[in-house]
Amino acid sequence: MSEPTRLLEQGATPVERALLDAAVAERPGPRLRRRAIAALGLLYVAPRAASAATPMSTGVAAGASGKLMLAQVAKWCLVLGLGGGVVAGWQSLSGSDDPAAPLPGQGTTEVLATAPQDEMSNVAPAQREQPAEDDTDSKDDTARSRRSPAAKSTQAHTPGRSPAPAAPSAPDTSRSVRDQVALLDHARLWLSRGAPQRALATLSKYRARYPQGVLREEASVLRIEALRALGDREQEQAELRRFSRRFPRSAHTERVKSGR
Amino acid sequence: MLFGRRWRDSGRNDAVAARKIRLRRIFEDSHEQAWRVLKRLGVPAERLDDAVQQVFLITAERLDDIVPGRERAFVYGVALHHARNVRRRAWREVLGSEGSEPDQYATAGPSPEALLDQKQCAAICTEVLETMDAPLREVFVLFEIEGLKMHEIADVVGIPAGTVASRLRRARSVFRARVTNWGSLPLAAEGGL
Repeated sequence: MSEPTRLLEQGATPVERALLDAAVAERPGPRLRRRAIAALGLLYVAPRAASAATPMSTGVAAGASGKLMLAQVAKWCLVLGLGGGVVAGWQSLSGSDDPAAPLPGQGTTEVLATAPQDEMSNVAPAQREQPAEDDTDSKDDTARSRRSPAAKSTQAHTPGRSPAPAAPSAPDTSRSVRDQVALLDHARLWLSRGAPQRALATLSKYRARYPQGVLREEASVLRIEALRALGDREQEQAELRRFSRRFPRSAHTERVKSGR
Repeated sequence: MLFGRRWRDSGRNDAVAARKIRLRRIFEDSHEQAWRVLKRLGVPAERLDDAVQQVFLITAERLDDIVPGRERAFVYGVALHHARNVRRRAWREVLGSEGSEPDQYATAGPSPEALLDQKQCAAICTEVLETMDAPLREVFVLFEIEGLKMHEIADVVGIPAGTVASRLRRARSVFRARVTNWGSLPLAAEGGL
């Protein structure tokens, strides 16, 4: 069967053309993109890494995975070469039970790059932000060497171990969102490892630090999932009711109710 | 043991990272299309953001089932399905609250001169499309606005290519009739399709 010609290419009246042209040109606002990316937990996946690859296929993903594997091998060679002291250091790191410690392998994962500044700075700042020194410092250390010049310049303005300034600035916002995403990533990781108690601990930490955080909806979803994994039906139902009350039109409602 | 554990962890993280790359790429490639399809297929503006998010949450859940190279078709399919659900739900709400079919057709719109404004054009296009039957509208939107090929539409909608062609013909004639009459006749007076 031959493909018909589109109205826009041939045969449309000026009015039809104007309508169709306008419909084709319409784009969603940037807010939608930011919200969806945060909700999908993709803030750390650099868009360039995602779009640099040509046609969508798992082959590309597999290629990325292969590169990461090579990086892992190189890392281990280095680790072995440095001797027992370094190994002991690694051991103490890997033995850490702190859920807020960097995710295993995060330091070598190219795609978990610093989130682009435009995405970060546009996300509404959380109320009552506090600097999350303990959670992010080690991550910052590992990521520092790969940061772009722009990211480096922002880092220069980011308060390090000194007390946080009174007025929140763009880098602070970025940092806050990074912290929030990191906390939720940790909670997800604990959940996937079958440790809902630890996930709940991390989520409590999130709630305490960011009561009005931009990802509080996603945190509530994770909390419900953790309670479900724990088998605490009563708490789960209470949390579910609270969730429905606070986010009556959430895109997650169906999923959390069905328990998928 | 330490090495083994770290190796396993890093392998798992690589897999997670690869999934995230793929999901982000799908998102970047098709979120605008998903948004447009949802909007043109009748999802109310205030629910659009959530609808797009829902489409990609489903995509994330089913990521491993998506055949490489068919990601965009998958997203279109989910968006289409979601739009149908939203319409069905909205219809039920209206029936429940009013006990009759809603007066879905707009009254006389702005004059053709006003079409110069692109935003207004897009809004009018949406209103015109809302006067079409859903099956015709789906095919029309996917072909004329999203630029999908006939066989892709057949795949996304789940109908034979011949049906796509006949629906497209009917959709075009309805679209033309609506646009021609736009601004001069209240569309409701035509009694629908």
